[in-house]
Amino acid sequence: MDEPAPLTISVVSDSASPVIAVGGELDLSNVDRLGTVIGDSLGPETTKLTLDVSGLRFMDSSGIALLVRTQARVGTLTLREPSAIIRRLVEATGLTEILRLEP
Amino acid sequence: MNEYTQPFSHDARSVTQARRFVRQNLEELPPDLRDAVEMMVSELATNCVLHTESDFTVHLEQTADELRVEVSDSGRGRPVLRPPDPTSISGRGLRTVEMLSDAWGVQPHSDAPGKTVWFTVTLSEVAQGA
Repeated sequence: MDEPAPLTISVVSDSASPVIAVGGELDLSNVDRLGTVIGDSLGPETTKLTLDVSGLRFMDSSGIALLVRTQARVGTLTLREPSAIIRRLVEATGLTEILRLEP
Repeated sequence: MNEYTQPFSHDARSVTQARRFVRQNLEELPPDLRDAVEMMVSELATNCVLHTESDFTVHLEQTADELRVEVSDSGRGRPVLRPPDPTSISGRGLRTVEMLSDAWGVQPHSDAPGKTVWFTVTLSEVAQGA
């Protein structure tokens, strides 16, 4: 019962512009796991990162805080196919100024 | 009126459990509204875990036209609604509640430490489960 939220993370493209697919549910119980994978996938010259969140059912401002830290580090951070509620969260928190939403 | 109450321990995994409690008890809500309530409860539960040292309780009260949600703790932290600064790392939880709810507020407990943060959402006629 007392388990962290189910979260799947896979590094789809490990190039100079990494793509990481994130699925399931992201909250305070597991956001550090994603932070670790993101950190490991970034090199000193990485300036672009794409998170494919098409399979992410839930995210709250714990995830938003991670996105803000990540964007500050890489420069260009793209969220691919966010769900309606995640898109609403990104817009409500003013993050459209620093994140790219695709589409 | 339907009422549900559940206590949660002071632990990051309680955020996940509180979300499940909400989804299980609000299965008949329209999906968009249920997602929004889940997110608001997640934010308030996260605040309890990060900014207090106490356990917390989630209380749901559903009538025909309104859902009221209360998240109560017995800690000393006070919630802070910060201006929307896109580069700030924290402080978005209550902003999210403000954007997604119809009304919200903070009630300090008069007879004990802690507080209750509450919000309401209007249930339209489509939510009445035909």
